[in-house]
Amino acid sequence: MLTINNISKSFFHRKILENLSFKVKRGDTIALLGKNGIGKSTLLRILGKISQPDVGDILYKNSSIYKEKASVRKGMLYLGHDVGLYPSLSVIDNIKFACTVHGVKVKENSILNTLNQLGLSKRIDDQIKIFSKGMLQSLKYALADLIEWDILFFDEPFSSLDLKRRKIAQDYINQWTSKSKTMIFATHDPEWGLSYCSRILLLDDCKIKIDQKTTQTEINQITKTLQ
Amino acid sequence: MFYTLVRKDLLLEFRTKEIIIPMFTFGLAIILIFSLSFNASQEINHTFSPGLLWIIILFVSSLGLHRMFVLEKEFDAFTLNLAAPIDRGTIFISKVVSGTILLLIAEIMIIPPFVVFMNLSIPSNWPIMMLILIIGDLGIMSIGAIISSLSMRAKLSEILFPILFFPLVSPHLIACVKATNYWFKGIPFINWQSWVYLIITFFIIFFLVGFMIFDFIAEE
Repeated sequence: MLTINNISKSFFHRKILENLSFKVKRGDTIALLGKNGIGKSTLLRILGKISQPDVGDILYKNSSIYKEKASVRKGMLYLGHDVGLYPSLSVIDNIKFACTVHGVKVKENSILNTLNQLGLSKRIDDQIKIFSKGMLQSLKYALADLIEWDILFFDEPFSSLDLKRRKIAQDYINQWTSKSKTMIFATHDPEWGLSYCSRILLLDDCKIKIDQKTTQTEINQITKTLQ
Repeated sequence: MFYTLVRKDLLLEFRTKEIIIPMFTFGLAIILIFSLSFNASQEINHTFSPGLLWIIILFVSSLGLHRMFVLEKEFDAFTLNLAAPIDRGTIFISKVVSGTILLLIAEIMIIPPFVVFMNLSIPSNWPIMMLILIIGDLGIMSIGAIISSLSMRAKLSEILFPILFFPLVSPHLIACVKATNYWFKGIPFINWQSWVYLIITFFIIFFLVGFMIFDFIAEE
Protein backbone atom coordinates (compact mmCIF):
# COMPACT_ATOMS: atom_id res chain seq x y z
CA MET A 1 0.00 0.00 0.00
CA LEU A 2 2.79 2.42 0.94
CA THR A 3 6.42 2.10 -0.15
CA ILE A 4 9.06 4.35 1.31
CA ASN A 5 12.20 4.43 -0.82
CA ASN A 6 15.48 5.79 0.56
CA ILE A 7 14.09 8.80 2.38
CA SER A 8 16.64 11.21 3.85
CA LYS A 9 16.01 14.46 5.65
CA SER A 10 18.29 17.03 7.29
CA PHE A 11 17.59 20.23 9.19
CA PHE A 12 20.36 22.83 9.12
CA HIS A 13 22.91 20.19 8.01
CA ARG A 14 21.91 17.90 10.88
CA LYS A 15 20.79 14.53 9.59
CA ILE A 16 17.43 13.41 10.96
CA LEU A 17 16.61 10.52 8.65
CA GLU A 18 19.05 8.68 6.42
CA ASN A 19 18.14 6.28 3.61
CA LEU A 20 14.96 5.06 5.25
CA SER A 21 13.14 2.35 3.34
CA PHE A 22 10.20 0.21 4.37
CA LYS A 23 6.86 -1.01 3.11
CA VAL A 24 3.46 -0.75 4.72
CA LYS A 25 0.95 -3.46 3.87
CA ARG A 26 -2.82 -3.06 3.96
CA GLY A 27 -4.05 -3.70 7.49
CA ASP A 28 -0.72 -2.94 9.18
CA THR A 29 -0.96 -1.12 12.49
CA ILE A 30 2.46 0.32 13.11
CA ALA A 31 3.82 1.84 16.30
CA LEU A 32 6.59 4.25 15.37
CA LEU A 33 8.88 4.49 18.38
CA GLY A 34 12.02 6.42 19.20
CA LYS A 35 13.54 8.94 21.56
CA ASN A 36 12.54 12.61 21.57
CA GLY A 37 13.86 14.47 18.53
CA ILE A 38 14.80 11.28 16.70
CA GLY A 39 12.55 12.09 13.71
CA LYS A 40 9.23 10.30 14.32
CA SER A 41 7.12 13.39 13.69
CA THR A 42 9.35 14.42 10.79
CA LEU A 43 8.82 11.02 9.19
CA LEU A 44 5.05 11.27 9.64
CA ARG A 45 5.07 14.79 8.16
CA ILE A 46 7.00 13.48 5.16
CA LEU A 47 4.52 10.64 4.73
CA GLY A 48 1.65 13.16 4.97
CA LYS A 49 3.38 15.34 2.32
CA ILE A 50 3.67 18.29 4.64
CA SER A 51 7.43 18.10 4.68
CA GLN A 52 9.63 17.33 1.69
CA PRO A 53 12.45 14.78 2.00
CA ASP A 54 15.89 15.80 0.72
CA VAL A 55 16.01 12.62 -1.36
CA GLY A 56 13.83 9.58 -1.85
CA ASP A 57 10.30 8.87 -2.92
CA ILE A 58 7.06 7.60 -1.46
CA LEU A 59 4.70 5.40 -3.43
CA TYR A 60 1.09 5.22 -2.34
CA LYS A 61 -0.90 2.54 -4.15
CA ASN A 62 1.97 2.42 -6.68
CA SER A 63 1.83 6.16 -7.43
CA SER A 64 4.50 8.61 -6.33
CA ILE A 65 3.02 11.23 -4.00
CA TYR A 66 5.70 13.67 -5.20
CA LYS A 67 5.52 13.15 -8.94
CA GLU A 68 1.84 12.41 -9.52
CA LYS A 69 -1.23 14.60 -9.11
CA ALA A 70 -2.46 15.51 -5.63
CA SER A 71 -5.54 13.34 -6.12
CA VAL A 72 -3.42 10.17 -5.78
CA ARG A 73 -3.15 11.03 -2.07
CA LYS A 74 -6.89 10.62 -1.58
CA GLY A 75 -7.36 8.18 1.28
CA MET A 76 -4.34 9.42 3.26
CA LEU A 77 -5.13 11.18 6.53
CA TYR A 78 -2.49 12.98 8.59
CA LEU A 79 -3.21 13.97 12.19
CA GLY A 80 -0.25 15.86 13.57
CA HIS A 81 0.93 16.91 16.97
CA ASP A 82 -1.12 20.11 16.81
CA VAL A 83 -4.79 19.86 15.97
CA GLY A 84 -4.32 21.32 12.47
CA LEU A 85 -7.62 23.21 12.50
CA TYR A 86 -8.46 26.91 12.54
CA PRO A 87 -8.70 28.31 16.09
CA SER A 88 -11.14 31.06 15.13
CA LEU A 89 -13.60 28.76 13.40
CA SER A 90 -16.26 26.78 15.22
CA VAL A 91 -16.10 23.00 15.65
CA ILE A 92 -18.70 22.44 12.95
CA ASP A 93 -17.07 24.85 10.47
CA ASN A 94 -13.68 23.22 11.02
CA ILE A 95 -15.02 19.69 10.57
CA LYS A 96 -17.02 20.61 7.47
CA PHE A 97 -13.96 22.29 5.95
CA ALA A 98 -11.63 19.38 6.81
CA CYS A 99 -14.08 16.87 5.32
CA THR A 100 -14.57 18.92 2.15
CA VAL A 101 -10.84 19.34 1.46
CA HIS A 102 -10.46 15.57 1.90
CA GLY A 103 -13.19 15.07 -0.67
CA VAL A 104 -15.82 13.82 1.78
CA LYS A 105 -19.38 15.10 2.06
CA VAL A 106 -20.76 14.61 5.54
CA LYS A 107 -24.22 15.21 6.87
CA GLU A 108 -24.63 17.36 9.95
CA ASN A 109 -26.28 14.40 11.73
CA SER A 110 -23.15 12.29 11.29
CA ILE A 111 -21.02 15.09 12.68
CA LEU A 112 -23.35 15.45 15.66
CA ASN A 113 -23.30 11.70 16.32
CA THR A 114 -19.51 11.60 16.29
CA LEU A 115 -19.19 14.67 18.48
CA ASN A 116 -21.74 13.18 20.86
CA GLN A 117 -19.58 10.08 21.27
CA LEU A 118 -16.63 12.31 22.05
CA GLY A 119 -18.61 14.47 24.49
CA LEU A 120 -18.33 17.57 22.32
CA SER A 121 -21.83 17.85 20.84
CA LYS A 122 -22.76 20.77 23.11
CA ARG A 123 -19.71 22.74 21.97
CA ILE A 124 -20.46 22.48 18.26
CA ASP A 125 -20.66 26.25 17.67
CA ASP A 126 -17.75 27.18 19.93
CA GLN A 127 -14.54 28.49 18.43
CA ILE A 128 -11.89 25.85 19.07
CA LYS A 129 -9.42 28.41 20.40
CA ILE A 130 -11.13 28.14 23.79
CA PHE A 131 -10.78 24.33 23.88
CA SER A 132 -8.41 22.49 26.19
CA LYS A 133 -5.64 20.36 24.69
CA GLY A 134 -7.59 17.21 25.51
CA MET A 135 -10.68 18.48 23.69
CA LEU A 136 -8.56 19.42 20.68
CA GLN A 137 -7.07 15.92 20.72
CA SER A 138 -10.61 14.48 20.75
CA LEU A 139 -11.40 16.55 17.67
CA LYS A 140 -8.73 14.60 15.79
CA TYR A 141 -10.70 11.42 16.47
CA ALA A 142 -13.82 13.15 15.15
CA LEU A 143 -11.95 13.91 11.92
CA ALA A 144 -10.63 10.34 11.67
CA ASP A 145 -14.15 9.03 12.20
CA LEU A 146 -15.81 11.28 9.63
CA ILE A 147 -13.18 11.36 6.89
CA GLU A 148 -12.92 8.19 4.83
CA TRP A 149 -9.29 7.11 4.85
CA ASP A 150 -7.27 4.10 3.82
CA ILE A 151 -4.13 4.99 5.73
CA LEU A 152 -3.82 7.10 8.86
CA PHE A 153 -0.70 8.84 10.15
CA PHE A 154 -1.32 9.79 13.77
CA ASP A 155 1.25 11.62 15.88
CA GLU A 156 0.85 10.97 19.61
CA PRO A 157 -2.69 9.52 19.62
CA PHE A 158 -3.22 9.83 23.38
CA SER A 159 -1.49 13.14 24.07
CA SER A 160 -3.34 15.28 26.69
CA LEU A 161 -6.30 12.89 26.99
CA ASP A 162 -7.88 12.21 30.37
CA LEU A 163 -8.84 8.65 31.32
CA LYS A 164 -12.39 8.89 29.96
CA ARG A 165 -11.29 10.38 26.64
CA ARG A 166 -8.38 7.94 26.43
CA LYS A 167 -10.82 5.03 26.66
CA ILE A 168 -13.00 6.53 23.91
CA ALA A 169 -9.87 7.04 21.77
CA GLN A 170 -8.78 3.45 22.36
CA ASP A 171 -12.26 2.25 21.36
CA TYR A 172 -11.94 4.13 18.07
CA ILE A 173 -8.52 2.58 17.42
CA ASN A 174 -9.86 -0.90 18.23
CA GLN A 175 -12.76 -0.29 15.86
CA TRP A 176 -10.38 0.70 13.05
CA THR A 177 -8.11 -2.29 13.79
CA SER A 178 -11.08 -4.66 13.59
CA LYS A 179 -11.84 -3.21 10.15
CA SER A 180 -8.22 -3.96 9.10
CA LYS A 181 -7.45 -0.30 8.55
CA THR A 182 -3.84 0.73 7.95
CA MET A 183 -2.41 3.03 10.61
CA ILE A 184 0.95 4.44 11.67
CA PHE A 185 1.13 5.88 15.18
CA ALA A 186 4.09 7.87 16.46
CA THR A 187 4.14 7.14 20.18
CA HIS A 188 6.35 7.17 23.26
CA ASP A 189 4.55 4.24 24.82
CA PRO A 190 6.22 0.95 23.77
CA GLU A 191 3.89 -1.11 25.95
CA TRP A 192 0.84 0.31 24.18
CA GLY A 193 2.54 -0.30 20.84
CA LEU A 194 3.22 -3.94 21.70
CA SER A 195 -0.35 -4.46 22.94
CA TYR A 196 -2.34 -2.76 20.23
CA CYS A 197 -0.19 -2.62 17.10
CA SER A 198 0.82 -5.38 14.74
CA ARG A 199 4.25 -4.02 13.90
CA ILE A 200 6.98 -2.00 15.57
CA LEU A 201 9.23 0.50 13.80
CA LEU A 202 11.93 1.83 16.06
CA LEU A 203 13.95 4.81 14.90
CA ASP A 204 17.43 5.37 16.22
CA ASP A 205 20.46 7.16 14.86
CA CYS A 206 18.64 8.34 11.68
CA LYS A 207 17.74 4.76 10.74
CA ILE A 208 15.20 2.07 11.47
CA LYS A 209 16.75 -0.07 14.17
CA ILE A 210 13.86 -2.47 14.70
CA ASP A 211 11.21 -3.38 12.14
CA GLN A 212 9.35 -6.48 13.18
CA LYS A 213 5.99 -7.89 14.20
CA THR A 214 4.94 -7.10 17.76
CA THR A 215 4.47 -10.80 18.43
CA GLN A 216 8.19 -11.29 17.86
CA THR A 217 9.25 -8.27 19.90
CA GLU A 218 10.25 -8.15 23.56
CA ILE A 219 9.70 -4.99 25.57
CA ASN A 220 13.32 -5.12 26.83
CA GLN A 221 14.54 -4.97 23.26
CA ILE A 222 12.79 -1.61 22.83
CA THR A 223 13.43 -0.06 26.23
CA LYS A 224 17.14 -0.80 25.88
CA THR A 225 17.28 1.44 22.80
CA LEU A 226 14.98 4.09 24.21
CA GLN A 227 17.01 4.54 27.40
CA MET B 1 -12.40 23.04 -3.95
CA PHE B 2 -11.31 26.56 -4.88
CA TYR B 3 -14.63 27.91 -3.62
CA THR B 4 -14.27 26.01 -0.31
CA LEU B 5 -10.80 27.48 0.28
CA VAL B 6 -11.87 31.05 -0.52
CA ARG B 7 -14.99 30.63 1.62
CA LYS B 8 -12.83 29.44 4.53
CA ASP B 9 -10.55 32.50 4.27
CA LEU B 10 -13.51 34.87 4.16
CA LEU B 11 -15.25 33.02 6.99
CA LEU B 12 -12.08 33.30 9.08
CA GLU B 13 -12.05 37.04 8.48
CA PHE B 14 -15.77 37.33 9.18
CA ARG B 15 -15.25 35.58 12.54
CA THR B 16 -12.04 37.31 13.62
CA LYS B 17 -12.11 40.66 11.79
CA GLU B 18 -8.35 40.59 12.29
CA ILE B 19 -7.52 41.62 8.72
CA ILE B 20 -9.93 44.29 7.47
CA ILE B 21 -10.20 46.35 10.66
CA PRO B 22 -6.42 46.74 11.12
CA MET B 23 -6.11 47.43 7.37
CA PHE B 24 -8.77 50.15 7.54
CA THR B 25 -7.45 51.71 10.77
CA PHE B 26 -3.89 51.73 9.50
CA GLY B 27 -4.94 53.13 6.11
CA LEU B 28 -7.01 55.88 7.72
CA ALA B 29 -4.13 56.81 10.02
CA ILE B 30 -1.75 57.20 7.07
CA ILE B 31 -4.32 59.30 5.15
CA LEU B 32 -4.68 61.62 8.16
CA ILE B 33 -0.91 61.93 8.54
CA PHE B 34 -0.47 62.69 4.83
CA SER B 35 -3.30 65.20 4.62
CA LEU B 36 -2.35 67.04 7.82
CA SER B 37 1.36 67.15 7.13
CA PHE B 38 1.18 68.28 3.48
CA ASN B 39 -1.59 70.87 3.76
CA ALA B 40 -1.04 71.60 0.05
CA SER B 41 -3.20 73.02 -2.75
CA GLN B 42 -5.50 70.78 -4.80
CA GLU B 43 -3.11 70.96 -7.75
CA ILE B 44 -0.14 69.69 -5.72
CA ASN B 45 -2.31 67.04 -4.09
CA HIS B 46 -3.31 65.82 -7.55
CA THR B 47 0.34 65.43 -8.48
CA PHE B 48 1.25 63.39 -5.39
CA SER B 49 -2.01 61.50 -4.84
CA PRO B 50 -1.40 58.50 -7.16
CA GLY B 51 1.88 57.71 -5.42
CA LEU B 52 0.40 58.26 -1.97
CA LEU B 53 -2.63 56.12 -2.75
CA TRP B 54 -0.52 53.14 -3.87
CA ILE B 55 1.86 53.53 -0.92
CA ILE B 56 -1.18 53.29 1.36
CA ILE B 57 -2.44 50.25 -0.58
CA LEU B 58 1.02 48.64 -0.33
CA PHE B 59 1.28 49.10 3.44
CA VAL B 60 -2.30 48.04 4.00
CA SER B 61 -1.90 44.94 1.81
CA SER B 62 1.33 43.90 3.55
CA LEU B 63 -0.48 44.14 6.88
CA GLY B 64 -3.36 42.02 5.57
CA LEU B 65 -1.13 39.47 3.89
CA HIS B 66 0.96 38.94 6.98
CA ARG B 67 -2.13 38.49 9.14
CA MET B 68 -3.69 36.12 6.61
CA PHE B 69 -0.76 33.75 6.82
CA VAL B 70 -0.41 34.11 10.60
CA LEU B 71 -3.95 32.73 10.88
CA GLU B 72 -2.72 29.68 8.93
CA LYS B 73 0.16 29.15 11.35
CA GLU B 74 -1.94 29.05 14.52
CA PHE B 75 -2.64 25.47 15.67
CA ASP B 76 -0.62 24.37 12.59
CA ALA B 77 -3.84 24.78 10.59
CA PHE B 78 -2.02 25.08 7.26
CA THR B 79 -1.10 21.37 7.47
CA LEU B 80 -4.78 20.59 6.94
CA ASN B 81 -4.50 22.19 3.49
CA LEU B 82 -1.13 20.63 2.74
CA ALA B 83 -2.09 17.11 3.80
CA ALA B 84 -5.38 17.17 1.90
CA PRO B 85 -5.44 15.69 -1.62
CA ILE B 86 -5.82 19.09 -3.25
CA ASP B 87 -3.57 20.69 -5.78
CA ARG B 88 -1.23 23.17 -4.10
CA GLY B 89 -1.74 25.58 -7.00
CA THR B 90 -5.43 25.76 -6.04
CA ILE B 91 -4.42 26.81 -2.52
CA PHE B 92 -2.28 29.59 -4.02
CA ILE B 93 -5.09 30.83 -6.28
CA SER B 94 -7.53 30.83 -3.37
CA LYS B 95 -5.11 32.88 -1.28
CA VAL B 96 -4.68 35.43 -4.10
CA VAL B 97 -8.43 35.72 -4.67
CA SER B 98 -9.47 35.90 -1.02
CA GLY B 99 -6.65 38.36 -0.30
CA THR B 100 -7.76 40.54 -3.23
CA ILE B 101 -11.38 40.49 -2.02
CA LEU B 102 -10.29 41.59 1.46
CA LEU B 103 -8.00 44.27 0.04
CA LEU B 104 -10.77 45.60 -2.20
CA ILE B 105 -13.13 45.79 0.79
CA ALA B 106 -10.45 47.72 2.70
CA GLU B 107 -9.96 50.03 -0.30
CA ILE B 108 -13.69 50.72 -0.52
CA MET B 109 -13.44 52.00 3.06
CA ILE B 110 -10.12 53.81 2.60
CA ILE B 111 -10.48 55.58 -0.76
CA PRO B 112 -13.47 57.85 0.12
CA PRO B 113 -11.67 59.42 3.12
CA PHE B 114 -8.52 59.64 0.97
CA VAL B 115 -10.44 61.67 -1.66
CA VAL B 116 -12.01 63.89 1.01
CA PHE B 117 -8.90 64.55 3.10
CA MET B 118 -6.64 65.08 0.08
CA ASN B 119 -9.27 67.39 -1.45
CA LEU B 120 -9.31 65.56 -4.79
CA SER B 121 -11.74 65.76 -7.70
CA ILE B 122 -12.43 62.40 -9.35
CA PRO B 123 -12.29 62.15 -13.17
CA SER B 124 -15.44 60.84 -14.82
CA ASN B 125 -13.92 57.66 -16.35
CA TRP B 126 -13.70 55.90 -12.97
CA PRO B 127 -14.39 52.36 -14.33
CA ILE B 128 -10.83 52.38 -15.72
CA MET B 129 -9.53 53.16 -12.25
CA MET B 130 -11.59 50.25 -10.91
CA LEU B 131 -9.83 48.02 -13.43
CA ILE B 132 -6.40 49.35 -12.38
CA LEU B 133 -7.27 48.77 -8.72
CA ILE B 134 -8.51 45.19 -9.27
CA ILE B 135 -5.57 44.08 -11.44
CA GLY B 136 -3.13 46.03 -9.28
CA ASP B 137 -4.47 44.29 -6.17
CA LEU B 138 -4.34 40.87 -7.86
CA GLY B 139 -0.69 41.51 -8.73
CA ILE B 140 0.18 42.67 -5.20
CA MET B 141 -1.58 39.64 -3.72
CA SER B 142 0.13 37.22 -6.14
CA ILE B 143 3.57 38.53 -5.17
CA GLY B 144 2.53 38.74 -1.51
CA ALA B 145 1.17 35.18 -1.38
CA ILE B 146 4.47 33.83 -2.77
CA ILE B 147 6.55 35.78 -0.24
CA SER B 148 4.20 35.08 2.68
CA SER B 149 4.24 31.35 2.09
CA LEU B 150 8.04 31.46 1.74
CA SER B 151 8.51 33.39 4.96
CA MET B 152 5.65 32.03 7.10
CA ARG B 153 7.72 29.21 8.61
CA ALA B 154 10.72 31.44 9.25
CA LYS B 155 11.34 32.52 12.83
CA LEU B 156 11.62 36.17 11.83
CA SER B 157 8.79 36.17 9.29
CA GLU B 158 7.70 39.69 10.33
CA ILE B 159 11.11 41.01 9.26
CA LEU B 160 11.67 38.69 6.32
CA PHE B 161 8.33 39.47 4.67
CA PRO B 162 8.82 43.24 4.01
CA ILE B 163 12.49 42.73 3.08
CA LEU B 164 11.48 40.36 0.29
CA PHE B 165 8.07 41.80 -0.57
CA PHE B 166 8.76 45.52 -1.06
CA PRO B 167 11.61 45.24 -3.61
CA LEU B 168 9.78 42.56 -5.58
CA VAL B 169 6.50 44.48 -5.73
CA SER B 170 8.15 47.81 -6.67
CA PRO B 171 8.04 47.49 -10.50
CA HIS B 172 4.39 46.47 -10.34
CA LEU B 173 3.62 49.33 -7.98
CA ILE B 174 5.40 51.88 -10.19
CA ALA B 175 3.24 50.78 -13.14
CA CYS B 176 0.12 51.17 -10.97
CA VAL B 177 1.21 54.68 -9.88
CA LYS B 178 1.92 55.73 -13.46
CA ALA B 179 -1.46 54.48 -14.71
CA THR B 180 -3.29 56.15 -11.80
CA ASN B 181 -1.38 59.37 -12.44
CA TYR B 182 -2.51 59.51 -16.08
CA TRP B 183 -6.06 58.69 -15.03
CA PHE B 184 -6.03 61.52 -12.47
CA LYS B 185 -4.85 63.95 -15.15
CA GLY B 186 -7.77 62.91 -17.37
CA ILE B 187 -5.52 61.91 -20.29
CA PRO B 188 -7.32 59.58 -22.77
CA PHE B 189 -6.78 55.90 -22.00
CA ILE B 190 -5.31 55.22 -25.45
CA ASN B 191 -2.24 57.34 -24.53
CA TRP B 192 -1.33 55.39 -21.41
CA GLN B 193 -2.81 51.94 -21.99
CA SER B 194 0.72 50.44 -22.11
CA TRP B 195 0.98 50.97 -18.32
CA VAL B 196 -2.21 48.98 -17.80
CA TYR B 197 -0.84 46.21 -20.03
CA LEU B 198 2.33 46.25 -17.92
CA ILE B 199 0.26 45.85 -14.74
CA ILE B 200 -1.60 42.93 -16.34
CA THR B 201 1.74 41.40 -17.43
CA PHE B 202 3.20 41.65 -13.92
CA PHE B 203 0.08 40.04 -12.50
CA ILE B 204 0.12 37.18 -15.02
CA ILE B 205 3.85 36.49 -14.50
CA PHE B 206 3.69 36.38 -10.70
CA PHE B 207 0.38 34.54 -10.71
CA LEU B 208 1.78 31.79 -12.96
CA VAL B 209 5.07 31.62 -11.05
CA GLY B 210 3.17 31.32 -7.76
CA PHE B 211 0.85 28.68 -9.19
CA MET B 212 3.78 26.60 -10.40
CA ILE B 213 6.10 26.87 -7.40
CA PHE B 214 3.60 26.89 -4.53
CA ASP B 215 3.95 23.12 -4.18
CA PHE B 216 7.63 23.56 -3.31
CA ILE B 217 7.50 26.72 -1.23
CA ALA B 218 4.53 25.70 0.90
CA GLU B 219 6.19 22.51 2.14
CA GLU B 220 8.63 22.47 5.03
